[in-house]
Amino acid sequence: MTERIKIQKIDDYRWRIPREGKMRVDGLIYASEAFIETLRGDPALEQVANVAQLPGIVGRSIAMPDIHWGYGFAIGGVAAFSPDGGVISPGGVGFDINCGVRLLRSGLSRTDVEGKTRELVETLFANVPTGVGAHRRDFKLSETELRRVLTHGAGWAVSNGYGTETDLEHIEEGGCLPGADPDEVSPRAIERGRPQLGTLGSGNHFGEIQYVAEIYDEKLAEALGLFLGQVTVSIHTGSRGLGYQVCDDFLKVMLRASAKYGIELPDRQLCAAPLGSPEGKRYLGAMSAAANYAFANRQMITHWVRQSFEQVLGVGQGKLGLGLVYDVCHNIAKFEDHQVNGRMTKLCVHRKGATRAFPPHHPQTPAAYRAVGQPVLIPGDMGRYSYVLVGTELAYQETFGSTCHGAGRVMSRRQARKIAGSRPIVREMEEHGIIVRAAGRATLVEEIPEAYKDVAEVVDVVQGAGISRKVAQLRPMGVIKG
Amino acid sequence: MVEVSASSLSELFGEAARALFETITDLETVRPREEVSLSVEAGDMEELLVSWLTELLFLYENGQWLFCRFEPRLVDDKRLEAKAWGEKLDPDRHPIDREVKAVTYHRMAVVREGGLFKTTIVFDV
Repeated sequence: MTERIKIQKIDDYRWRIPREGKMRVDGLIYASEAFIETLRGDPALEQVANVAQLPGIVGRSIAMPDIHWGYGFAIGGVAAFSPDGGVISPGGVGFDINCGVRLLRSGLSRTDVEGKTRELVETLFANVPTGVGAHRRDFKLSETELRRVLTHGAGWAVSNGYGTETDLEHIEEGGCLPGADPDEVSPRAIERGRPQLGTLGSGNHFGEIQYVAEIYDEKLAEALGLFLGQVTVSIHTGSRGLGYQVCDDFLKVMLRASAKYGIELPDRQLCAAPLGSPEGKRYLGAMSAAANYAFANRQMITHWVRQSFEQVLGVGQGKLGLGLVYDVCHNIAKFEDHQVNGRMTKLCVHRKGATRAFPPHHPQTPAAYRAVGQPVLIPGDMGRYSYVLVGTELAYQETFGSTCHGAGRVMSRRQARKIAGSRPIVREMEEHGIIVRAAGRATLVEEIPEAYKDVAEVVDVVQGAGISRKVAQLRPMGVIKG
Repeated sequence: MVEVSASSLSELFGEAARALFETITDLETVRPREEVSLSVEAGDMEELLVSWLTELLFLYENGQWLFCRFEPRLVDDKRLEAKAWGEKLDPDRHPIDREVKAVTYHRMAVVREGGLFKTTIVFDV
């Protein structure tokens, strides 16, 4: 079936899946020639075409260069729907609602932490609950309080002493999606969420101590407060069991809704409901609540990261300066204003494994970055590097202000285990100067660098296509994983 | 992604549950010390299978239960009564391989082939 997916070259970085059959719009893939070759015959392309069949889709069904097969929607996909006839789909957001990345910049240089990386990693691992069942003994959340988290997001964390007001200005949507409805979050989701707030989780989630290894644009880097050799910290996690449960609960609701509203599904995992329907509104309320949980989660972890640095280096926040560069969501659906046929229109933009990349001067680009564009954080695999980019006007015009989100797997977890099952991954990483502490036995093996695309190639595509601009490259020094 | 097959639908549910816990840990290390009764309802067979596995996943995540033996009984294609045997997670004895975030509906279909019931289950890990 996949062989039938036609791909036409538009330019060196753009490829079209022409509309045919039940597709309502074209597919648009951002990829290099080399990526396209590896994608031919990949079921992810079929998924891009499937999404193009959903009612009310606007523009094109978009795939980023880090696209890979996902459940229903491909990971690395962007799809916008009109409130008039369009749909919302939990599969277009993913299980890990508001999975995202945040980046902290420090006032420290690499030399300031030399010889202390191991201690920093161990302290982070002790302070930030990592892996299955881990949680802080000194933090318990009542149901009433959790409902406040769901309503206020990162703001809840800040008002409870986890971070500062300034942090909130450097988070997508200010760290809180409006319209969250805790009453739509099931008791089961609440139960799963209570012990997990302020935990990293496992799989590809991580906390990473890095340094700025390359600067591509001095002016942009300066605006983002980044300098060569600077120590930074990245946190990658989402809404944990609460978000997974919300997705799970609403897949059931949406399966029925799809039948009720006569939405034809090429795959059950694409189930959806009209944006204006009671089911659609309920999901939006629950999804926004889960997204707020994720914002609060990353905010609390940030606080413990700051404490860990203070503990190990024996200096206060003034010198550490672990301020927030930005916090992006890469699994989310949101109402945003976009140009459609020359007119500003409200659309529901689904980004599943894709990052918002708003241009300079956009009102939602934080004031501090208004002249340069919204920061975009692209984590790579644990052995190589990550990138900081900014959004562009072209992204706003072409991709509903979106860009890639990471490296994207090239190897299944099973394949990774097969080739690396008995390798001493921790030692291998140490030989490359990276201290790794992981809770799970198999996680590390499955997360070996070669299981991922080289994120540099992914970033080169979005830069080449003009939907993002490279600012800096970050290299890992220490990693904690679940 | 795991493929499971069994000679009856009830058994298929048991095999799928084993596959779930094999994804999480080494099942050899789990002893059937305690019994838990479960009851799951859903709209159809596929949804029932996802709901069953999701219920077990919940017991693991929130109750730290690891199960190794299952006795599922399909009441009809919308309801399952089951017993599961296992023990609470002991990090010293149970190697945790990975976290399963969710059980997906991706390409989920229970089919009958030459006297065997088969299905493919995709776990989000």
